[in-house]
Amino acid sequence: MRRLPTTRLERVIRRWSRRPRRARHFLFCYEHVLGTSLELQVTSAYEGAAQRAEAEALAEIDRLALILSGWSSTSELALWLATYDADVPVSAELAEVLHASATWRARTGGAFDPGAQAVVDRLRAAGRDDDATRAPLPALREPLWRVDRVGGTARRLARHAVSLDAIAKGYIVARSAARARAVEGVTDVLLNVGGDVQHYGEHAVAAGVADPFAPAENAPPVAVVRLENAALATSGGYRRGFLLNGQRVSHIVDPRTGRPAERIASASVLAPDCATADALSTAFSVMAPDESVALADSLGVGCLLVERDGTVSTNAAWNDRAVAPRHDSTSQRESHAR
Amino acid sequence: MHDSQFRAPLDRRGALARLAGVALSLTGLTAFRRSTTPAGVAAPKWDDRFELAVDLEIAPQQGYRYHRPYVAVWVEDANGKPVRTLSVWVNTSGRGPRYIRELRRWFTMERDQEDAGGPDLITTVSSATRLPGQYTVTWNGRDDRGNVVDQGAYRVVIEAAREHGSYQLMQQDLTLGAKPVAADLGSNEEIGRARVEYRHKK
Repeated sequence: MRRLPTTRLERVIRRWSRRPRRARHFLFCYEHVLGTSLELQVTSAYEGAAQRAEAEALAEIDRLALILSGWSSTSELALWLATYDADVPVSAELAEVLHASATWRARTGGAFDPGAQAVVDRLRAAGRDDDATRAPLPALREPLWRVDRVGGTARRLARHAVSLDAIAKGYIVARSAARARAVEGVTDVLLNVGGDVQHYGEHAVAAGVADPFAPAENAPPVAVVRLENAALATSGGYRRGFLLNGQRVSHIVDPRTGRPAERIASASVLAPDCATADALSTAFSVMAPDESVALADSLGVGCLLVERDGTVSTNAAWNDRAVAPRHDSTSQRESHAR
Repeated sequence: MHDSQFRAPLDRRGALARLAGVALSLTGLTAFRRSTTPAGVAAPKWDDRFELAVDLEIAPQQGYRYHRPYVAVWVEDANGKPVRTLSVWVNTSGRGPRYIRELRRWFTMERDQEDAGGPDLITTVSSATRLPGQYTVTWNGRDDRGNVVDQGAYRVVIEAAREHGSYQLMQQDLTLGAKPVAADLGSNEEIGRARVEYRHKK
């Protein structure tokens, strides 16, 4: 076959195709994912790779929701919760989340407790707090379950209502972001599901924390941090709540007292993985700020706590990654009045 | 969650209006333009105790999850001139992902500039869990250049579109002055509920 002489256009195309391709940013937004909104950002030189990352993330979310959803009567969690005092075979994922929940329950002295759902259910139904709504509190001090991760079984030890919502979403976000990041040709993934954020990749990104007193989309954040292979989760009662004694209260209830979170308007945690950030931000919503800062310091995670009166507390691990507001490294860092 | 006060290159109407403004001043017609406001009557400036909030809820679509439509929210003055772009969200459905370099948050608010020595590029925002499809944007009475606007008549415009779907435009005229005022804008195929509220800042 006779070779045709190369045209000028062909030479240009060949030269172009040998150039390294520039990374591009892709954005995917969905509503009604895990009961909230999803925003996925992917950095890749290839559109096909970005689309595969999107498909991988959504597939992982669907797969894990079938295991961990507290809103489906047929999830593995729901079926397991119907059992009692028996070693039941469970998936590695359910075992991992049950184990992590028990660990955080112990480390936070009960400030994070899946069993708090028993109190929440009573408070919502009664519309007021009294001895009846506080009745489950003693039971919350007993072990909820025993997990044998090697044997792949879990035994439920309590009968009262349980919710993994304060950790499962973060767990799903972290796992799904990791799956998307593993796609060949993808350099960065930033996944935000309803405010729980996980980044995996080569380039740090700036992530804001919504102002609990002005959470509008276009309002300035209260703080901005650098995220690099890290997660940021925030808990607060400013978007969801219920009526208690005629007053609108936070949907987050202190498992130790049976009272809704009152002092903290917004609690954010910066941690390597989103399950940890999710669970701890919930605990820090009901703990005293100095307790939260001490626990965050001991765990090496960052925290930002905004109280109802506007007082803001952060710790060293947070300040190290803070982009704004900047803190003077020589001054007292613990408390900044608004 | 990508919205906000970035310099909207996507807002063609704003760009055109700005071009028109430049053209007017270049051709020496600024004097004529000024003469359209009654001489000697200076309208009071925006009262900073107030804000305008626009609440909107994306209408659920068929299927258990759905792409967020393209939504733009902006404010026009009584002459139909765009004053401030409050949000622009891109539609990512249909022909696949879009190039989003121009879609990052770009805060130019006074506080951020003070704190950080310049505006920060925010890629995402962590918050308490939102209810699906529910968004609020607020207007602080500044135009796209950051200047305080006068009290008076304004129009809030919400544009929503979906590729291979419908195009919807909602508008509401409001007098923004010394008194709170609110209005419901109804619903359409893309926006299930929209409400504007001129209110005292919380």
